[in-house]
Amino acid sequence: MTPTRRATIHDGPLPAAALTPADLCAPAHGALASFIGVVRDHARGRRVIDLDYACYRAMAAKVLDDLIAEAARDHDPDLAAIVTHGIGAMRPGDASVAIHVASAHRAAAFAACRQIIERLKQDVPIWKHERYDDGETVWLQGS
Amino acid sequence: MLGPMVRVRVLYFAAIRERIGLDQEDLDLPERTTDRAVLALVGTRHPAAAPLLAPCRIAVDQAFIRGEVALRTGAEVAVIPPVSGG
Repeated sequence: MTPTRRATIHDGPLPAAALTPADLCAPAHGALASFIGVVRDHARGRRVIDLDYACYRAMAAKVLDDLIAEAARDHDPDLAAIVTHGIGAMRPGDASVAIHVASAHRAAAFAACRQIIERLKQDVPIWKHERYDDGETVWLQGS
Repeated sequence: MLGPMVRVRVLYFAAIRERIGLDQEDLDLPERTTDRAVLALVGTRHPAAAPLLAPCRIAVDQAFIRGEVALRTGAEVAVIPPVSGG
């Protein structure tokens, strides 16, 4: 059976359904690792009021698909993964990204999950525009 | 010698988009070019954005390129500032 692999760009904060790995595990999967990124109320010593994620949508979805394929190549050919990234306006406490990975064993699940979030932060064309309590806004460059 | 030129669509994002005041424009670029040459041309055209371009990457048709590239007419050429998703 082909493992589930899905990458989605979602408008707005992630809904509860994106935070759970629902139907991800196949019978051969004995480990499931999840990472959920949440909007923080502070950054570099400043208070974050809200932020906006901009996205090059057509490319972001492709790169996410590539990162899942890369993680499967590096850690487990039978890896299953669901990645969802929210874009648009968000406030502290909102979930912005969810990565769920299933594998036969925990080592590959943890490693693949970690690899996907780290690579996402390098290559997926999404940009954070933060607004602080003094009214200033900044486009973050790199993370 | 620049060789033949092709018309492509150039996309701008985030801080670059804000600085240039455009989300996209159609430009004539040499058919055979490089990522750094595209960035240099954007910087010449939009001096206000020039200081932000050094760390940017170029994607052609939604894939990062590095070094030489052959552009086709209608290609989507994106200027990608350092990303900050997650």
